Amino acid sequence: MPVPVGDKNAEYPTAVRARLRQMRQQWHVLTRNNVQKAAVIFIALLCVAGVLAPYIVPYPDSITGKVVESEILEPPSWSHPFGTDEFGRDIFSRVLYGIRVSLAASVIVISIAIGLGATFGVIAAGARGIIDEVIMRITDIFLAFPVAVLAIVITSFWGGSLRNAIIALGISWWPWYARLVRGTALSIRERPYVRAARALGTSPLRIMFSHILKNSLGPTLVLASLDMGAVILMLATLSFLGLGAQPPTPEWGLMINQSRTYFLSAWWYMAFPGAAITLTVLSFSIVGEGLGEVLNPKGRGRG
Amino acid sequence: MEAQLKVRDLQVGFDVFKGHVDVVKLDELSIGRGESYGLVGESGAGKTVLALTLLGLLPQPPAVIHASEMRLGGVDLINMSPKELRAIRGRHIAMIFQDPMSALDPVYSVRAQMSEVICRRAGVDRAEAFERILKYMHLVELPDPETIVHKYPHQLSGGQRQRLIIALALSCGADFLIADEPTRNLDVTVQASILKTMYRLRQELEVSMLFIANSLALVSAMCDRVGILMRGRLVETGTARDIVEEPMHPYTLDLLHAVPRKGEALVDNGVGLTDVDASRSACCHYRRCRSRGPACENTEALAMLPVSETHAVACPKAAAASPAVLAEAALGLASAPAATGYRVVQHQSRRGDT
Repeated sequence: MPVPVGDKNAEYPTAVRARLRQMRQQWHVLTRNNVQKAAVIFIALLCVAGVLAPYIVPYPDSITGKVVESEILEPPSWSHPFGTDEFGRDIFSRVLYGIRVSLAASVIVISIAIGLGATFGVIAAGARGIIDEVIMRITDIFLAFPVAVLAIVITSFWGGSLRNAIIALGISWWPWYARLVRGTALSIRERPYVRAARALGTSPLRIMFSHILKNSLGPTLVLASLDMGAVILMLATLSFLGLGAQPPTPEWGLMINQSRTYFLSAWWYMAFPGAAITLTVLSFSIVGEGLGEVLNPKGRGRG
Repeated sequence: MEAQLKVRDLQVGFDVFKGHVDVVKLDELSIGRGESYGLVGESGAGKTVLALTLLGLLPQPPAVIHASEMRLGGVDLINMSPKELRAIRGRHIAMIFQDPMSALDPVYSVRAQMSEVICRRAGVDRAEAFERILKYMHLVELPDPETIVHKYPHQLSGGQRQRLIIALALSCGADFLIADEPTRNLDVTVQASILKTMYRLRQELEVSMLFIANSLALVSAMCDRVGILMRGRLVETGTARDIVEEPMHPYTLDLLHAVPRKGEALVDNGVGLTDVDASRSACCHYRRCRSRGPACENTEALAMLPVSETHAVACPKAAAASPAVLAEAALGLASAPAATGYRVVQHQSRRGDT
């Protein structure tokens, strides 16, 4: 077989190089100040820890409901850095494993919300007229209820479980995205480049999803990363109320719920899961703001 | 000359709060294959509406379009479904928009935008499309296409972007181009060099062009024939030389005099575009016409009156007052349009070099 000669693929190294340079710039913008840098690093660590959790937890048995009677409610020590709970389980292991639960769950919730919201939002903006009206009135109905109330109603109706909590939150969260995407899409569909695309004969569907949707995605992703924190918090709330994850799942909110009884005698039981929630939520909102700068193409600077 | 675009009795209006507004009312417009037709008029004259009508991009309603004939390359545009129209756009007709700063999608690199069009139109793969992109970028004289192709629109200058937009319009193989003030917002040097490129491309690729502008100088440089549009109606048509050297309609004269000259007071005829008294005269220039007479108070529709083989004017008074032009036309001294255009282009680029 002859070796391909010629310049046909000579473009790829240049393209790859350009992309790499762009990514470097984005990283630079995102980590311009120390607080943002810390937040980015913290989230990166969370992700790594979450992925590796099953391999690095010091006490894998603590994830399940196994009782170790000799080590009940021990304060933090070298062998149990975050102490132990009322079943003698290692809280550090459980908090570490909780990353997996919280992050995965909130990513799913946000994905459901964006998937539903962006689709309905773009359709509303693209179709206008009666379809727009119907979709927007539906979002109004949803937005009339606080997310917490709606999610609590849905989960108590279906029964509390992590899966139901995720679905309930996704359903009660999408109208925000539908509104945001519709609003941006409405302004974008009148931009000259959309008209130019139309003048070049691009199909309406393609214009809707490749030009309008992609340009509305910047604000959407910023909202998504800001929402990550809120969703984690909301999941924890549902679990705290017994409507989300069920014991013995190592979910942060659930752990705080269980620690209530021992609040006065074992501070560490509530403090560490609480700190995990606080730091994670905080980091996501900081990174969300930074992401706003990165995703704005004009913030990228000259290439 | 074979007509590439042929429009007869076109009426475009909008249903507005108080009834109906006629924006464009054309008796006849035909543009030959490879010909460049310039459309000049004030802002609000209906130039862009006409362009969008030809592209089928005016949403109906609010627009109301009537025409007894509208053909592009022998294809009837009136009774076309939106889908068929879409196939025509890009493949046979393309538009270069006014504002180069915002006619490119900011989230796609140059390469992505161009290959979107090329891949879909020509059905080629990415590598093949890439070569074509570079080819078209060379064609529109973009410097260093290999670097520019990976950039995003905001990283390019206005002139570079406008060249890209031209490349984009050409890359899908359109043989009829509508250029809607393609050099607005650009400075004169860039303007001159882009116009020069467009002039060359038009000749090399033999595309027909409808060139819209509000400057007669620009249009006479670029175009074989020129039409003066006022309130959506053609009031004077002719070769570029006819219009520039022997303008007849009072409105054309006003347009020419509106260009400030040294030592001359600026002309402002003080009457807005909207002030038309249809009950007194069918001529929409009546209110601000400086050479109007009692005969102008005539509410019968004005027809285009030929004053030479190429030149026609919608003003009975002006047409009657030009025996010299009639005589010249009778002797067959009608001008060669392409030469006129080229001469002015060179003149412009010389000015740009300094």
